[in-house]
Amino acid sequence: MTSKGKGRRRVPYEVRKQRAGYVFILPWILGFLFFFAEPMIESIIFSFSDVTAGQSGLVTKFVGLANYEMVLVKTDEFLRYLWTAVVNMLSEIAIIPLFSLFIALILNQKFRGRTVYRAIYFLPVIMTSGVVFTMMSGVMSSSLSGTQNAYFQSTGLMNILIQGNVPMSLVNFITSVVDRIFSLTLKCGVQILLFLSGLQKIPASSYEACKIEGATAWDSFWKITFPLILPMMMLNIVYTIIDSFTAYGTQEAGNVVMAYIYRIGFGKSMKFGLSAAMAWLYFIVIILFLTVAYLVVGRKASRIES
Amino acid sequence: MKGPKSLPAVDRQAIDSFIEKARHYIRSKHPQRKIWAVFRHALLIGIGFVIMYSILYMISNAFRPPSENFDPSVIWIPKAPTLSNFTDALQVLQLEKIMGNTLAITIGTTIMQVIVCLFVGYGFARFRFKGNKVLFGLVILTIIIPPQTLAVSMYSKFRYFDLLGIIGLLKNITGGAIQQPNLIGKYWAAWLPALTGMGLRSGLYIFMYRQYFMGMPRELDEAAAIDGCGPYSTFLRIMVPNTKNIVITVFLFAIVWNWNDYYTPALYMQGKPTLATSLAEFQNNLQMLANVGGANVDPIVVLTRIQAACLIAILPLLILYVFTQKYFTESIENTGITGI
Repeated sequence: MTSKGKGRRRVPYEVRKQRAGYVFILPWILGFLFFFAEPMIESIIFSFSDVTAGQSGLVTKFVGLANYEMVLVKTDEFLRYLWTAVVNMLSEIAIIPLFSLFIALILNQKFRGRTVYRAIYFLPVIMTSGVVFTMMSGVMSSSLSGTQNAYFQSTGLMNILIQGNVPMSLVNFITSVVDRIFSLTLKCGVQILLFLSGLQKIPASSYEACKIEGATAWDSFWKITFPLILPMMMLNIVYTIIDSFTAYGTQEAGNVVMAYIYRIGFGKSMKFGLSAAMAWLYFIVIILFLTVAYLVVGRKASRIES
Repeated sequence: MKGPKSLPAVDRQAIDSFIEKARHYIRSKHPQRKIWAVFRHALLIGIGFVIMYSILYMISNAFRPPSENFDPSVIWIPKAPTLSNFTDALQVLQLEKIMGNTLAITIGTTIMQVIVCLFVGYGFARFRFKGNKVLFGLVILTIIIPPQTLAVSMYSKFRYFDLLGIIGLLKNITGGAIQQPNLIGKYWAAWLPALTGMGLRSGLYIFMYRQYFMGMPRELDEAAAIDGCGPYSTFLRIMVPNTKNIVITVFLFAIVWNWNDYYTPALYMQGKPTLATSLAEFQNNLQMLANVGGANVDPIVVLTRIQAACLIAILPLLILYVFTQKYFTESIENTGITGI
């Protein structure tokens, strides 16, 4: 009797498990339909329409590509803000992933005081988001270029580069990186954390095997650590791009595009359609950069994984 | 002729023995490790200082009277420490008005996100159902879309809240007696997305939980099934008790990002200022207050007040971090929060 009962129960168990899977993700499915899919489709429609607030909902009037034309051709404000955000992002991508990997490699070694250092290096995770960070880095940079703390200024470097016939656009890029070195260091918290957790996953046995074959630390970094950490590098680059592109900002500091789209839609003008068109253009730019990152790093990473 | 020939021979012997000694020394005592250890500490302290600098600078400035702000003789410790920056900052921030909103939005949303994403992440990690991969790809999509893209339609959704058009239908039947509720300016505008895994960065938490649960051995399910546990009791009795570190990590992330979030309260919580929105308006409000008082706005006065306000804003997070960072680092040591 027992064996029969077991046999009858085992088949429904698999079905029950399938069903349970859907039950677990049910809240997310509801949220996705109501608070993501529907608003997303609506927002695409808005971007092709003239939207005004009516009595019991928004009234939309189809205007074709007029909003996009306004953003891309008739005015250049959006494109200027977008350019600033892209340069910001590029300077972050140039520094943050490699620097974080370097710090994570050091913090992954065994030495005394490691926990204290880790506690300090993860500290930026809690203070470098949102309004506080934008305000703080504004205050910091204004005080650093002030009278008493001039040691992080890049004017000297700029002169050297200009004399060395380095193209002006590159000089501007380099000096913008140097000027933001403070905030860039502070932006590495999450990335260091991610790399560290990736390094923990590399089995010690693979290093030992490498050592037995007489490889130096340098060799084992390039043969073992680097290929195994590439997927994490991909994740970090993606995180850095998204974090940079969706950060808080004001008219002058932080992410200026986000602030501009917010101002157009919810400032005094309430141009919902225009704001939606900008947001979609912005999203396309983000996807574009993520695709490039995938083509450069991600493909290599997934090839190594397989 | 013999002299010069024998001299190098003696020297070579000495050199050889010296090299041998040096080799032995390097092999047995590893001086390069000691040099690296010293260099490592120097490097870590140096960069650690850059990180701590901003906090120390903020603390130092927040206690300074404005007159000492650009005084070159004051480096770190103010000559006449004062609390006036804090009292002014608290007044401008309107603490009594923002505290309730900030706590309701931060803590309420965070707890909902931590629990709901735990369920969803578990569902994605441990069950093979149809469409699992496609749906998880959509989770990633929710992470990468900037909130501004959906803001307008989300705003209209909350302004005239409806579920599948039911309330709109009721409104037409009853001739307007039942109206669609207006959720703008209500906490529900933050809570409803959080309850359905769509809150701020919820996708990231689902991702983190999923990675964590995927790392748990398969045998756990089988053992639980043999003991007669169904999928739900397996989750509650076997899985949940083992999630302390990852829950604390997600909790810390969520509370920090919700606490600092500007756009959600600014977009959907009009009339309910939080710490983040109040801080964003801080400089304007400070100047307005000063102008009303008839005094000129001294940029230096503004600077120390801003430092004090920022310190007030991150102080609760700093305290929280001190208490949770142990679990935080542990969760990395043991499992890797996002083992790929």
